[in-house]
Amino acid sequence: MSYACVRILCVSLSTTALWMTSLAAQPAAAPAPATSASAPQVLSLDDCLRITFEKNHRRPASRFAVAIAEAQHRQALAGYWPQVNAKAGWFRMDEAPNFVFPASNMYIPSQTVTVPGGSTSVTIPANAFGPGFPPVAVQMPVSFPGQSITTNAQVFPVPEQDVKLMDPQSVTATGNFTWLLFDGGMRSGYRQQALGGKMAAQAELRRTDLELTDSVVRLYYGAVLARQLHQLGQDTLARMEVTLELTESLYKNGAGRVNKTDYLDNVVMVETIRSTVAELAKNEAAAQAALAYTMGLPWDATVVPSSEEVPHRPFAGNAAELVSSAYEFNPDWAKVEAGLKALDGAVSTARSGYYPKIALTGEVHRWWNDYTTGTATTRNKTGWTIGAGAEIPIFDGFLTKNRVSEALARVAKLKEEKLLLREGIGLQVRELFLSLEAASKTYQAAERAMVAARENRELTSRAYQNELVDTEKVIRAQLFEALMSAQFYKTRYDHVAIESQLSVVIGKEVRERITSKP
Amino acid sequence: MSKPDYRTDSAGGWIERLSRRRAISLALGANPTFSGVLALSQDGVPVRLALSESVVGDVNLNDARAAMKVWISLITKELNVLIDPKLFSTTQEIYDRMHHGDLDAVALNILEYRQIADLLDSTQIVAAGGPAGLEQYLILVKKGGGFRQLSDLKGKRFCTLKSPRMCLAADWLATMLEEGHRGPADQFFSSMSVDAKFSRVVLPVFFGQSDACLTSKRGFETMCELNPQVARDLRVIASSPQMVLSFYIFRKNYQGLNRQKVIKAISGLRNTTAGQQLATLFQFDELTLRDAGCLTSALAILDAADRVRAQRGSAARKG
Repeated sequence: MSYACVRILCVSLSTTALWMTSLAAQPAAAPAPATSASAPQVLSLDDCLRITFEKNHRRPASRFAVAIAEAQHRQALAGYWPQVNAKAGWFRMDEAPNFVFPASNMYIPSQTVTVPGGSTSVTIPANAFGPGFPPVAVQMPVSFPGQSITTNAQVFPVPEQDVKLMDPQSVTATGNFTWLLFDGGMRSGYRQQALGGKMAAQAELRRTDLELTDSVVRLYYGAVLARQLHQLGQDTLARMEVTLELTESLYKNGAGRVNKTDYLDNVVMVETIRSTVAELAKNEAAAQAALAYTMGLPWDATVVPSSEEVPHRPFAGNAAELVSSAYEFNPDWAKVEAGLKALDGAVSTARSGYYPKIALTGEVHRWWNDYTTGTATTRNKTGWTIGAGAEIPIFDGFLTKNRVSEALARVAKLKEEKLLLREGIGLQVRELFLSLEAASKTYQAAERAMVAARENRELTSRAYQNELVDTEKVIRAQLFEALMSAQFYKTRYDHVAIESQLSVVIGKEVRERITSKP
Repeated sequence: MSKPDYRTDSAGGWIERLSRRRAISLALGANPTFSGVLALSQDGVPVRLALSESVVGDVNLNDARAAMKVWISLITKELNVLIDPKLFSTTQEIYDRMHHGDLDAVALNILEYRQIADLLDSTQIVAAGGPAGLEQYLILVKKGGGFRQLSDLKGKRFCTLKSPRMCLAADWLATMLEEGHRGPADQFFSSMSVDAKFSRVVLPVFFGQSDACLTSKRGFETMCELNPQVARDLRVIASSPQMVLSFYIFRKNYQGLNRQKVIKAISGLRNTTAGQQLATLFQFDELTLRDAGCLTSALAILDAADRVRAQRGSAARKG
């Protein structure tokens, strides 16, 4: 066999091994493969996704972010309702409050009272003076003279008076409301901002789900690929070990036609393959550990994919269709849309600074106090008020104007960024689409190469049995079959991985967006 | 047998230099040569298996033994069965050892089987399974050469493949010629040659350097697949029945767990990657358990050949 051919295989497997290492390292801070303390779990992809959505901590964090945004939105809506408050309280003072009326003098000036003269008739009833006297009622005329009465000016001193106002212990209850009737668009602005925040949080949650799905899909099939490559390496090693054993036996015990250099060449080849297999074994363990980590399982958990091979379904679609789907479902796009909505709200809120605010207010109260005079009268103990108020901005040092300018600038900035994102998404989809097309072609080529390599190995083996080819060709055919199988497995994985990445960009399962061939 | 090739062009050249794989293939697999299959019995008594040097031919016995050692090692490691091959210089020696119960099994070809069949248990034969395991001989001529049947080859150049798989070729050809009353082969053809290299048997016919050849069907089909023009330009004018030519068989009255272990070990060898590699390198197909019925066609040819020889002997005595 050709040693160069063996080197090609080893380099190829090593490259794959390195690539598998990077694959395993993809999830943030994936743990180093360790000897698992817990028994490996054999799971399907659906099981892995289900467990991921249950256990991965990124998802609850995103869910709480949505809950926060929803609560903020409801807070914004609260401004449309009247604000009603009730207060009740009991209090006791160290002593009853009082009102002290200071001592004073009351001055009364001199005055003259004039009484004019006149006459009137007086009726003396019967028996007024005694029985029978007068016997009947007598009417008598009475005359009186006019006169003037004059008094002198006088001063009356009034002493200081201490008036108790209420009992020192009181119980009060009040209720009031404020209802903002007009705010110039402030509340609708806040509502829009909160709604935008909610939509952004929902888009972020969706992105989290898509990213988790992508990670799990790629790691799951990465683990399948790692296992296939490891198995392939083991098989190749087993074959070459037999060849080496035979070489060694013929070198040491044969007729001398196999010499030490033949044997050493084989040793180098087998040991190179053995080191590659060790790397592939490590990659398999690392891929399984990374998958478990991404699923939110403990660091020592190991997940073994139940799938035997990476699936492959050819596709037919066009980039334009995928890009338009991306504008519909891409979470980044949705976040920009949400951001624009929020910034529109910010503009409204800023503009509300130009307008007056009108509010209706009201209050009702009740006061319990054992005292009934002073201020603790019945009238004062119950009552209500109702009113309306307006706050009119007249000059604020151009604060409102500049707030509006800032908000409008933010909107304009985001719109420009939206244009960039639009192109970026289109480019991303296009690149992935091209990668997918290339992967499909590579897959087809790798499949043909693998089929040809297998056919070549079978034919070479048969030809070898009939003395038509040399041993070297048989072993080379075996190594190339292994190499082509590895390439084929990798292209299958590449196809699935690109498809998964495309799903993240499009924001939806790619398979739903592209027309699958039967 | 081809000449040893002493090229040292690559790491793989050594096997090629090993007087071809024949030695190993004879020793271990499809060919009846050797193998030593020795199952470790429960009481530690091994199964003893015989191999005739006469079948190995001019293969270097040291190389054959070295290859055999690998075989034993693999069987022991993978299948918990030991191989203890014993090489014998003659079939008679095998017969004697078998007769005294010193051997438990033997890997042999149909010729040897026929000689010692009375000592063997033909109810269980381990041989290559499926159509690929059956050997068939063909006589090939070039299309357009005017050869339509065997009689057309009278006085023509004829080449035969020399291989353990061709052990019945001469008998089959003699039978065919005798059926047409065409006399012995060396008198029928103008020249007869043999070659161990398949291509050196078939390609001369293709290039017109020879008029006909006798070779194996499997080899011809493989060559046709490698070179489709060979299939287009060559034609089969005679073909033998399908035959089982080499196999493992046990001594009569040899029973016990060991027997089943050996059967299981030999027939299951290709279930492991290492076993597959060994089978590939040693050129044998998947082996399966069969009964004596599979030998009928080959034995029929041998019987017919015997009758031919007897008739010729009788005719010679009369003449």
